Amino acid sequence: MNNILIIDDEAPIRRLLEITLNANGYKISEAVTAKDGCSLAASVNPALIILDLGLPDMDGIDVLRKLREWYTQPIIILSVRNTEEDIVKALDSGANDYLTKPFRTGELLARIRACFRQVDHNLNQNPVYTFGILTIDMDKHLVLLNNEIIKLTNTEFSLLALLARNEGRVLTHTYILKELWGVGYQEQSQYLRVFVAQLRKKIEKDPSKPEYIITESGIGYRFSK
Amino acid sequence: MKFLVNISLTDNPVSLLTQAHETVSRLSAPLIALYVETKKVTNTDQLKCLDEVVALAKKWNIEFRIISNYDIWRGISDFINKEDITHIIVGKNNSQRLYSLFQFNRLLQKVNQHCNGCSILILNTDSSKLKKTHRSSRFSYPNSDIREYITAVAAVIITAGVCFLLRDIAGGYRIFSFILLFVVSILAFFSGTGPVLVASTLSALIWNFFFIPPHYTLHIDRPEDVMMFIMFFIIALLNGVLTTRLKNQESRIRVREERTYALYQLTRDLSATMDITELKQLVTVSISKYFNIKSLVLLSDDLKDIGDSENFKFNNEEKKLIQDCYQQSVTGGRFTNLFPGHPYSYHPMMGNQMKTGVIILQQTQAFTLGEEQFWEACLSQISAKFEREILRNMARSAYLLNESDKLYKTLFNSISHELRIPVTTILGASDTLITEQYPDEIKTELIREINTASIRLNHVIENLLNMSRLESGHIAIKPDWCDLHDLVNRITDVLKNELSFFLFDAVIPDNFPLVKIDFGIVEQIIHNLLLNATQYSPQGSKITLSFVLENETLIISVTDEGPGLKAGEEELLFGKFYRGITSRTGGTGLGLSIVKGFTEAHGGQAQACNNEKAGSQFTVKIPVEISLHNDKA
Repeated sequence: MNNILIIDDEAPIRRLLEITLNANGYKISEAVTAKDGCSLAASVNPALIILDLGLPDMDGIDVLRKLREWYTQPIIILSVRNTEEDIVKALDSGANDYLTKPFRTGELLARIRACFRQVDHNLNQNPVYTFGILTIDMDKHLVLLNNEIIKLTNTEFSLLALLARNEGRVLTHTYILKELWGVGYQEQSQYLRVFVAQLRKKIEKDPSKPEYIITESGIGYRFSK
Repeated sequence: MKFLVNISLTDNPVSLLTQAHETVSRLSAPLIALYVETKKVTNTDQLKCLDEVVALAKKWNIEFRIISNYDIWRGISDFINKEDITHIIVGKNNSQRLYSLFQFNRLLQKVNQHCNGCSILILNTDSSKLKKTHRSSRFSYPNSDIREYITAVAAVIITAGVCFLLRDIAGGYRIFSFILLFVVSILAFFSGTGPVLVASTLSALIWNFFFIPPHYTLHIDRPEDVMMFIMFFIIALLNGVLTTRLKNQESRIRVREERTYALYQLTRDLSATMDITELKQLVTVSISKYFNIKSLVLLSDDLKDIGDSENFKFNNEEKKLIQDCYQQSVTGGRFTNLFPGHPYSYHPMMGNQMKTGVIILQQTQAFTLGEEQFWEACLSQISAKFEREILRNMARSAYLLNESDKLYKTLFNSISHELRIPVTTILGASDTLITEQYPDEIKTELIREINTASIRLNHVIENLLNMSRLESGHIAIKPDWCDLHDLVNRITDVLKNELSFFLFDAVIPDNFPLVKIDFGIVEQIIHNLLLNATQYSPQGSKITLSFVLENETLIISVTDEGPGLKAGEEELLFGKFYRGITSRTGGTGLGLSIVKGFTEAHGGQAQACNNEKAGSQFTVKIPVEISLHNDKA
């Protein structure tokens, strides 16, 4: 049973999370302040942390960075801060996902599951990923849709591979650009959109209603199963 | 009944005005004091006397008018006709019986001649005080400077010299009299009375001495030459004096005309300016233009704490006097009767209903009578303008206060309603779930209600937050490349439930390029437009969202098949808290005003109109940058 640490100063939110997550079979630890949260994380070593950004004793982003110094498991941010700037900042500081309050519990559970799946992927080291009718073979640089080979350029494949490896996780524009083209291309978000549009045409049933590559407005992309 | 008192400086005007005032005020009829300026007053005693009269008139609130005319009675007659005067008051001098009798008869004649239908009131004035002045001032003193005399004498001598050389060639000596006469006439145009008198005498003597036989004597042989000499003298004299008088008249009229024009100009400039700060500046500039005086305008608010400015520095005593002048509505400071020791003069601005402030002048010399009048006219125009603007500002701020009060009430009503309804639902439903035991279906039903209410509550909060973002001006547009499909997907996903009751269609033309927009802002705009359409349209009707690119403008339209707009509603719709005439209950009335605010923040325009067939159409036009990368990149 996975242990989840909730760091949030709002009692009703902690209560809601506790009920929901318990009902879904997760074990819960709770902390009200950043200080308690950090020490609890060290002692319990939870499988996942749900972190609020508006803590009384420390700014959430600083808590996030501090945790990331040693903590490698998924961290999901749960915050009322809803500007794209805040979200991108949190994601670039090492958060795996970001949900704004008010949130739907269903959505949160899905994100938690996605995070755990990703951890599984990383453990498995299996080079072949399968998402419904889409199969990606990382070693052979092969993409199959309905068992038919799809021709992708190198960049398109790298993009798809990057997204698929991080399935369920929002990758910011900056992050993707840096991974694919290296430092210095972070501002070229136009390229990225063009490549995403091409990739969608090749792998999506209806490119205008994508099912795999989901846009997170103003933030980045998420590969969805 | 309307009285006119004719102020003449030769009688005792102070006494005349005092008596006239007493007489007329008993009848409580209006009184105008008129001074006809026939020639420029240069005598200081008379000037002082005139100032005294003007001050008296001001004290008693008697209108004091100065007109310029070479003939007193012609001037009075014109004035009477213009102003509908019924009674004329004139002064009668007792001191010189014979002379006055003669003058008095002439006066009666003149009045009869010029002032038809006017009654005449004759008041005795004791002019002993002014006797001397009056006598000594009968003649106009030559006031031309020495250069004019030299020029006049030189002109006559040169002309005479030339004539002397030509004496033997020309047919007779009489022709030279005409030449000399001509020169004297010309001189009259340029010089004052004195030089002309000198020139005419000199030319008469020269003509006599050098030209009339026998030569080189002043003796004249022939009687016709004697006649000729006398005539020459008289004509030269008359010519010179009359021309000078006309010239003076003309120059006085010109000055007056210039002032009238300046006043007109000032009025026009004043009426073109609305802003109080600009108005202050205009007044300072105008005063320096028309009077060549540095000035400072202090409005009532400035007077509470008078600070120094560029050209004006005040010590405490001066500050105190400025405030006193303002409080008591009197002119004070330099060149006035009130503390003339001060470096500046202070002129309170008095409108019809209120005092608006003080104008401070840095005069280097006292105003002349005409300037004083001109200044008073300007001051009254300026004061009236300031009063108008201040009253207008007051009215506006009262209106705004009223508006904000109204706004607050509307906000309170609409928001409290919008917040309370979902909270009531949540509270009620959850309460029921906790305390009562119901079958599962009812429980599910109640839970669904809670869910719906929370979503509604969230909408209100989002709108309020957006509105406050807009109001505080904290909206920073961060455009980034966007695929419109992403935008549409996102919005339709968020509004999945609301749109499920309608035939929703989103139209994006094929090969639509990437556009640079602020995703969040545009999302909110479309979100609100669609939500608005769902609220006003019958279930099952069509709602269409379409995008068109025109040049570099993205046109987003939302059309519905609802009841459409009432005429005149198009603009109102985007106002804060406006609720459509056909609207159902609920809604904050903020949605469309947020659309407008966000669109404008994005540099665009939002419009509403009725659809051709049925329903309404909301259009948002946003200038965008278009991607030059095509899909093939």
